[in-house]
Amino acid sequence: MIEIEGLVKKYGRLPVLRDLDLRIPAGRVTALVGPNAAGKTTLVKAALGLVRPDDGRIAVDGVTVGDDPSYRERIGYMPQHPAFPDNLRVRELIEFIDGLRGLAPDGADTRFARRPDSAPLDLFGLRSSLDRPLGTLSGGTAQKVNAALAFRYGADLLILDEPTAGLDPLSRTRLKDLIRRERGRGATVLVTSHVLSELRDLAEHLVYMVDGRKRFDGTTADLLHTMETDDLERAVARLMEAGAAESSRDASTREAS
Amino acid sequence: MRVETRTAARITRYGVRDVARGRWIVVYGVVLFALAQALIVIEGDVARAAAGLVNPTLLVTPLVGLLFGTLYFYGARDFNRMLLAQPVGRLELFNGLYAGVALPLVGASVLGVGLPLLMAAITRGSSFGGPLRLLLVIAALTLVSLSLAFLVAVTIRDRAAGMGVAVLLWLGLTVLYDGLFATVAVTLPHVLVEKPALVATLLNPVDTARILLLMEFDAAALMGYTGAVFRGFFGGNFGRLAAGAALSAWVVVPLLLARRRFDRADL
Repeated sequence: MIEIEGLVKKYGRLPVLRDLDLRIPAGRVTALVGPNAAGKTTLVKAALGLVRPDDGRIAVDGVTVGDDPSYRERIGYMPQHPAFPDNLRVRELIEFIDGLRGLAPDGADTRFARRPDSAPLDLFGLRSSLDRPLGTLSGGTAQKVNAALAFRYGADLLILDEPTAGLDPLSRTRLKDLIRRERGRGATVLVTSHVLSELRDLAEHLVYMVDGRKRFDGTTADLLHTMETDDLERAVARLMEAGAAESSRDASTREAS
Repeated sequence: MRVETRTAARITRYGVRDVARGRWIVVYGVVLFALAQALIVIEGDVARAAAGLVNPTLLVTPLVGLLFGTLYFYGARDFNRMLLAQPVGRLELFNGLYAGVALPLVGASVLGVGLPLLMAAITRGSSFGGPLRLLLVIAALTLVSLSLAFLVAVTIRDRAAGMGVAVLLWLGLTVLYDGLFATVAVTLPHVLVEKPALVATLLNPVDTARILLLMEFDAAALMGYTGAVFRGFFGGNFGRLAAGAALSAWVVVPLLLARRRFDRADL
């Protein structure tokens, strides 16, 4: 579970997160949606400790995000754009990350009683690419490596930032299967995505953000009901329209006063 | 071994592997090797070849260190985020990255210049002192320029601006500082007397390195009265110690500043 209390973040003078209170419920799939510059990526980065908040608190499973990195043992993260060192081979990258997580290259445990899960490697057909340098992989294959790493460590919390971008339809389906598998295991999953149709049958909870604030925070069923549609994309589009109307109303009120 | 140390060592190992496989570093080592070998052939003497290598290496090693260091750090930025999503602390990552790029770069420059010099010294039975001093100074300057490069890359987010600052820094350390020094020495000869001149030399790592090497290769005689003063200072143990301390400070201080910034920055 991720708990966010009064989170404030500014880049220079530009506010990105404005006094945000939020709970990402445990054991569910939550979709984090919103227009560009809504603060989604900053929120994800704050949960990972990559961004230092100006105020407020963010906690993962009760542990306040701070200087101690050990809480990230429980997190699997899939960034939007894979960025790997060109000269390393896929196998070396995986062994490297295994090592950082305290797992020996052969999968034997050195720190805690977990073994890495190699099933995602097979699922994405990466076995034949293990000896290829990362710099020679196509964008889609690199994204599959990204996914295989995120799902490799039996994480309690999966943070997936636009996970389907660049994946072919088969891999997208497999990725969704993996998300379901993890959800079935009791993991908490936070997905940011623009492709809402893909989240329709996955996300149970939805957080809609605009301008660093949450505009909707509830179950997808509630959202669909409130917006009187059974199409998630349309429901979020209506949220966006309502948000746009509200901000233009705010602007005209300011002008009038 | 503590978990933090083990993590930093793993990152170092990965960095060494990544850098050592790049074409850049190999070309750099080979060019230095060819230069050293050519000078040995032309000069016909190891000590004179080493002396001849002083000026080119004082120009090239800071340039390569600054450019390679900033490029490497900017290039690693996205992957760093991925690494920091693992149970890895920022300081462990920073230390690991620095060592990971410093080891191959120092290795390439020291091997490139050192192999031909030391081989020639062995086969001709000449002294190792000069070549070893040169290699030590090259290693120190490489570390200094990498520390400065990391500080630049951590401080300036924009890659193009950062690269520009790195080049300016190099120009400042190798050319502008000396130009300023010479101008003051000529226009205000009573200001830049021995002691201020000594201090001014210690404030620029490239000048400190140059003086140390010039003393070694007995070129101080060319420098007249000031040369004699410098020889008195840098030729003695205290002077060598001061020069060593100045070079170490140039490695450590920018590195600590960069580390602190990296620890607090939004990545």
